[in-house]
Amino acid sequence: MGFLSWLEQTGLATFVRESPSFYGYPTFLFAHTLGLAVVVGISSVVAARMLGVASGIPLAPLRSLFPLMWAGFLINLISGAGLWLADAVNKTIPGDGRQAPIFMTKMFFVIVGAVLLLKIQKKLSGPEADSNTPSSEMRFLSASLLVCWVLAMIAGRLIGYTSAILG
Amino acid sequence: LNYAHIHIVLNHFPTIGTVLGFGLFVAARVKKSEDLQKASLVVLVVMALLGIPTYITGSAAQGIVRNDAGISAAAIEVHQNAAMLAFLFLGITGTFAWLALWQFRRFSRPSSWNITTVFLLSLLTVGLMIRAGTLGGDINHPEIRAEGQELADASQISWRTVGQTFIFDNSWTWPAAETLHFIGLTLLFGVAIMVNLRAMGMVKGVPFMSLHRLLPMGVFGFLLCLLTGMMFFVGNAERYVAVPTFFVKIGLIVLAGINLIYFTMFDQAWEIREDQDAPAVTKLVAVGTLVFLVGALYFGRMIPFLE
Repeated sequence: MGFLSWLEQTGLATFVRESPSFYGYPTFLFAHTLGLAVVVGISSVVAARMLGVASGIPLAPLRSLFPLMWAGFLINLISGAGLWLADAVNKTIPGDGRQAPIFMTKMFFVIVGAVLLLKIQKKLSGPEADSNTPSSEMRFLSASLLVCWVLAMIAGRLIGYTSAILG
Repeated sequence: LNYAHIHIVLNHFPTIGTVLGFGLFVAARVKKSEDLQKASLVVLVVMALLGIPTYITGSAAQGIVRNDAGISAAAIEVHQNAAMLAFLFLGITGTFAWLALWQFRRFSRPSSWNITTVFLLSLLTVGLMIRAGTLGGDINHPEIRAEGQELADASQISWRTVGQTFIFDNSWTWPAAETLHFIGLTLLFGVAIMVNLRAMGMVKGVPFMSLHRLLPMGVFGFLLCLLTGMMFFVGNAERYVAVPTFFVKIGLIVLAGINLIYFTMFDQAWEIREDQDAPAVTKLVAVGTLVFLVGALYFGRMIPFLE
C-alpha cells in the first residue's frame, strides 16, 4: 500500500490524474480506446475468420497483421499503466468500496486474451496457414479469445460503476 | 447561423430524398434496370445517413426555439414524436438498402425477400417522413395549418420522455449501452482497419473480394453503436448538443458511411486481386475512411471533457 501510494504521487501519476491539460487524462483515455479498436478489433475479425466468417480470406497473409495488433496492445499497456498509476491503490487493493475486484477481473481476461492471441499467432506462423482450413484447436483458441475480449470489455466498462455494483 | 437554421436546411434532404429513392426504386422495377435499382438503393442509404444529423440538429433546434413567443411547445412535441418514428424506419430502410447493395456484389443480385423488404420499408418511410416534415412545418408556420385544425394537446405523451425514463430509471441501461457501444466499436474498427489497410497495400495476399464478406459484420458493429449512441443522445440531448465537437463526430460518421458505399459496390475496389496494388483513388478513399473513423473515435472520447 505504501509503495502504491508513493506511485500515485509520482509526477506521471499526478499529471494523468490532475493536469487540466488535454494531454493528461483525456488523451490517455483516447489512446486506450484507440488501442482497443486496433488490438481487439483486428484480432476479433481474425478470430471470426477462423470460426468460418469470410472463409475466402487466405490465412498466411494475416500473419503480417500481428505486429499491428501488438502495437495496439502496447498502446493500451502504456496508456493503461498511466491510468492505473493515477489511481493505483483504488485499482489494486480490495476493500472499502474500491475498484480493485472489478479492475483485476478485467486484467485477468486481458492477460488470458493476450496469451491466446500469442498462441494463435504461433500456430498461424506454422504449416496451419497453408491449408486455409483452421484446425479445431485454432477454432477453440479463437472462440476463447472472443469470449475473453467481451468479458474484458464488460469488466472494463463496469470499473466506473463500482459503487453501484459493490455498494 | 445556429442549429435551428441547419436543421431547417438539412431536414429537406432525407424527406425529399426518401421520396426520390422510393420513386427510383419503383421505376427500376418497372424498367427492370439494374443501374437504376443500385442508384435508388444508394439514395436510400445516403438519406438514412443524413437522417442522423437531421435528427440531432432537430433536437438542438427545439432547445433554441422552445421558449420563443409564438412557438407552440405542443407542436414541437408532436413533430418530435413523428420525427423519432420516421428516423427509426429511415434507419431500418437504409440498413436493408445497404444489404441489397452488398448482395449485388456477393450474389450478383439482391435476394427477392430483401427487394420486397426494401420496397415496403421505403414506402412506409416515405409516409412517415412526409408526416414528420408536415408536422415540423406547423411549428413555425401556423398560417399553413388547416382551418380549425386542433393543435395537439400538450399532455400528449412525449416519446423522448418515455425513453429518458427507461434509460435513467434503470441502473443497468446506461452501463449496458456503453458496453455495447464499445463492442460495436471494436467490430466496426476491426473490419474497417482490415478492409482499408488492404486497400492501402497491407496484407496484399488477401483479395478484396474475400474481405467484402466482412462488411456486414462491420455494419452490424456500426448499428450497435448507432442504436446505443441514440439512446445516450435521447437520454441526454441537451448535454450533447452543447458540446460543439459532438457535431464534428456526427459529420465524420456520415462521411465514413458514404465511403462504405464505395467499398460495398465500386468495381475499383472489388477487382483488387491477390497481390495486386489498389488504384490511387481506392487508396485515397481508404485513407479518408480511417481518418474519419479515428476522428469520430477522438471526438467521441472527448465529449465528457468538452462539456
